[in-house]
Amino acid sequence: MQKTIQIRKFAVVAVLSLLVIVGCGKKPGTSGKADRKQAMSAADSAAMAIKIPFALKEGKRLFSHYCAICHGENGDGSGQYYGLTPSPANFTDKAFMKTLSNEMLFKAIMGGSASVGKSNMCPPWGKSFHGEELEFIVTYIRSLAAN
Amino acid sequence: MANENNNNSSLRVYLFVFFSVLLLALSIWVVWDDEFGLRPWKKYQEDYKTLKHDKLERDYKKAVVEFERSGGHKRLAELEAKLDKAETAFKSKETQEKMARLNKQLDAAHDALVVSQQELRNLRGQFLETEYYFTKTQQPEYKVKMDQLQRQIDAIGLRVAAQQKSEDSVKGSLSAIMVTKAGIQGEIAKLQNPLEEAKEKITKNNTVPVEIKQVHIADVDKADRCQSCHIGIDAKSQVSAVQPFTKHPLSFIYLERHDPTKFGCTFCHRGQGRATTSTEKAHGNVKHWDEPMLVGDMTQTSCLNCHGDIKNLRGAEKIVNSTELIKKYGCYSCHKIPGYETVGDVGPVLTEVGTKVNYSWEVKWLMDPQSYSSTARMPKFYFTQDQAESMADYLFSMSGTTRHDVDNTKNKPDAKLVEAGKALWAQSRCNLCHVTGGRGGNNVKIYAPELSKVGSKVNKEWLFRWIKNPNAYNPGTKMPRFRLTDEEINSLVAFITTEFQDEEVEYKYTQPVEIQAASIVKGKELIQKYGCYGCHKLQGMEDMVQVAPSLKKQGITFLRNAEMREKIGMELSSIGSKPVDMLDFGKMKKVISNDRLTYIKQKLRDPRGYRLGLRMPNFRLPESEINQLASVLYGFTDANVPTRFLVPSRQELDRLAGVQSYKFTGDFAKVIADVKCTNCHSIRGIGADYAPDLSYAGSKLQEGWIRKFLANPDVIRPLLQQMPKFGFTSGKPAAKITMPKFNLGQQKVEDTNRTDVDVVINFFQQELVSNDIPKKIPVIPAMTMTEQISKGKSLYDDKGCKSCHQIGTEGGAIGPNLTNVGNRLNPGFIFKHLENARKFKPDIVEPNYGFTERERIYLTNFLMTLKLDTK
Repeated sequence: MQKTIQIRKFAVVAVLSLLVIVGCGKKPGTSGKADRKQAMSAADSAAMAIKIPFALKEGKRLFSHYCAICHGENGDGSGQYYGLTPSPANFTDKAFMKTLSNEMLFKAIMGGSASVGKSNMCPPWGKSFHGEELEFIVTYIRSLAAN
Repeated sequence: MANENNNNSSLRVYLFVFFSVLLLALSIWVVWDDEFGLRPWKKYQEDYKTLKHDKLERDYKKAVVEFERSGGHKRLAELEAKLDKAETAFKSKETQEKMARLNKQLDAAHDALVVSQQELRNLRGQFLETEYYFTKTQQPEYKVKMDQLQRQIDAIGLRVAAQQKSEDSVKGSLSAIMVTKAGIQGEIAKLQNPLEEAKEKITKNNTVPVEIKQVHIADVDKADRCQSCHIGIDAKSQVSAVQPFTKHPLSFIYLERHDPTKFGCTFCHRGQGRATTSTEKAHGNVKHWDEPMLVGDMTQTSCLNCHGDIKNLRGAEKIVNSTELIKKYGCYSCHKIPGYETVGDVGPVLTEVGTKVNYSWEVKWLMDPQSYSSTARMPKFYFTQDQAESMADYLFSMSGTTRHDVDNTKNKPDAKLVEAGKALWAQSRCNLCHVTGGRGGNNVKIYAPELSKVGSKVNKEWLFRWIKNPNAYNPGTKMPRFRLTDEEINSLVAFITTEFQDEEVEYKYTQPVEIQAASIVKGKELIQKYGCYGCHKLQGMEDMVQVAPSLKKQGITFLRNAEMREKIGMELSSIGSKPVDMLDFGKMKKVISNDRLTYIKQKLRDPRGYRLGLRMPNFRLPESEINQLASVLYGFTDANVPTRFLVPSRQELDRLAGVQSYKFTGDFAKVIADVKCTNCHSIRGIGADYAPDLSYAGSKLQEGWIRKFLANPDVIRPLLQQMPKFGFTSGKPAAKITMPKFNLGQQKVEDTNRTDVDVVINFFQQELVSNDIPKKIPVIPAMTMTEQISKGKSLYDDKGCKSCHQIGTEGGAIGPNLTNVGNRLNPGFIFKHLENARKFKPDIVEPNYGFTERERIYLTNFLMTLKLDTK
């Protein structure tokens, strides 16, 4: 009799601890902080890819209003200008675009082409736009040579 | 028995233990779920903190690297050595003695100064007293005393000045001793500050509590908790690009004016703001929640909740373009839409249409407008041949008794006349608004009819009368009167009816046929049933009332005009928040997704598709326009918005203040009604934005130039106006766009003895002046004009102005041609325009160069020298 009760008690304790373990298993964060961080940074770069369309859309809108008249609607430097010399940059030229860093593009738009040691034909836009808008334009210009 | 008892009790124990364990487990689960399972935002906030910590640490490391790269350590050591040196120098016996000496000097000087100042005050008091007696008694002894006192005051005044100077010099030498030390200390702080700031940010981030972030807007009792997860939405620099940690895009537009801690998120984005237990619930993607979250361009629909006037509203570009479609298709003609009560009819007057068009054309048009012109705005009503004929019979019976066609090709006009008409067609820039053969239509928002086949549609007599005075036939028309002579009109009519012919046209009624009375009755019934009077003025149907289901809008009532006419279609003022259960999906219930946006889109796509008996015609909208229109309709809500959020339009403000909105008056109103300047120009918020804003034309333009320009318009901005900016273009832009020649200045305005040019100029100079634009620009006296002009010229060259502007034959063609700008613009305008061009046109292409005032003066003076000598 005593024995069976003891066995039952043992069983109960076992079930109890099992439940506790199952309960604990659901707790978040048991996989370790480092893993989660890694997962987050992976998601970060994936999210960048999703976020780009907004920047592209807004960048395109700004580009076609302010830039396309010289640089062309497709960014190939064939706008409706009347013989500008030197002719506007062709952003669809992959080889040419590889020579430019994003920082340089940003600087050239912000301070005008003269600020990066080129002609003074492209005016400075830094006082007309917010930095975020300039970044969008850079993102859009970058996308022109991507495909 | 005992055994049984034993068994029973052991079963009880077993059950007891089992349920105890279950209870314990449940309790643990409840506590856990309450703490973590139902609070996913906790994890997000903790993650955000970690991410932010990482970012701040990166920033700190960057600052350290920068510190080291710029030789910070070396510099710091140097500075500290310097400081030590300065300290020892400061502590040296010599300096200390000097300091003590100087301090003593300072005290002495200060004391002397105080004494002298006291003396001076006393003397001044005495002087005033004496002066008082002198003015009262006029006795000379007082005068003598006054002179004496004045002399004393002067002497002491000099002494005070000298003492002041000596005190200052002592102070100067004292601070000279201290300055080296203080300067070095300042430099050390400057060097270390970025590092310390970065460190401080890290500590601050660690102490941020994890808590629910709720925004409660008390006036409308609306709460949202979105920022509990979207914790970095208003961060200055983005911590992570992964949701929900991102920063709001273009936050300098959207969040700066709408502080998320005061506005919350759901006013613009909808969704279920109070839900915090899961992403789906919070974003409103659950059953029976009618307001799914708005993202991307769709969010702009919410601007309509509060902004009465969205024109030129930065960040609302998409919705601005979309609302234009309401005007294009005239939705307000059949549906009640607040804000469109005063917009004119979208279709022409039909009362005398029998004198205007061919019967065969009318029938074909009624059956399918796009068979005549692919850009026709009139929708398809799916009328049968029989129905269309009855309606045409009714329309023709208002001005005659027969069905009749006129073949304009029968009597060929003189070739010379046609040639003259062609020249006139070009000179009058008809293609600016009208599309012919796929060309023209630059001013897209006018929606002028396409004229490629008009020669087979209208008859010559009507066309003559129309061109001679469009207002006489259709008082609300946008067509200007060109002030042509009868001979000129004849040539234009000859050209139009010869050039623009439909080769496939079939005339059935070149021999007139009497109209049957029964057909007229049937036609009238159809016209009433389908509400043609919504868009067209029809004799006898001016006050037609057709009551359709109308949903009264609550909330912002003051945005609506109370005396709105009842319309044939459903009221649309709250369609964007109508409960989904109240939308009749009918036959499409199982075919399309049952949500509001899909309902609206499907309705626009196939207006009669939900069930039988619907009357809305098919506009055959392209999918892009369906999306645009749906986004606008989705924004017509009865959202409960606090009154303090509302930004009423100017008209609305005027109405609230009980003021008449701006209206043209006097003789100028007559000119406007005739020439329709506001088709292209905007004046004081009235009109279109196709041509330059004339609201301040009086301050901007010179009188002589206006006269010459109106007599013979010339190209000013060759390229800009050709750009199809809004995607509404129906054809290719015509090559060279100038203002049409209206032949102004030759006729007197009705009831006056002034020509229209005089009236226009008078109005410009009296009314259209801006206080912001000075009459004259500041003068630089120290520099000769020639010098200033040459400085302006070199600025013009250095800044690359010529890439957009042309002077003579050199330069680009984007901005205005500046060859004759000295005769065209007032200097004050140029001066102001150079400061901030966007003030005059918010989306102007010209960037802000940030010129100084002097530079603007130089440039203005240079530009004012650019004059063409024309007689």
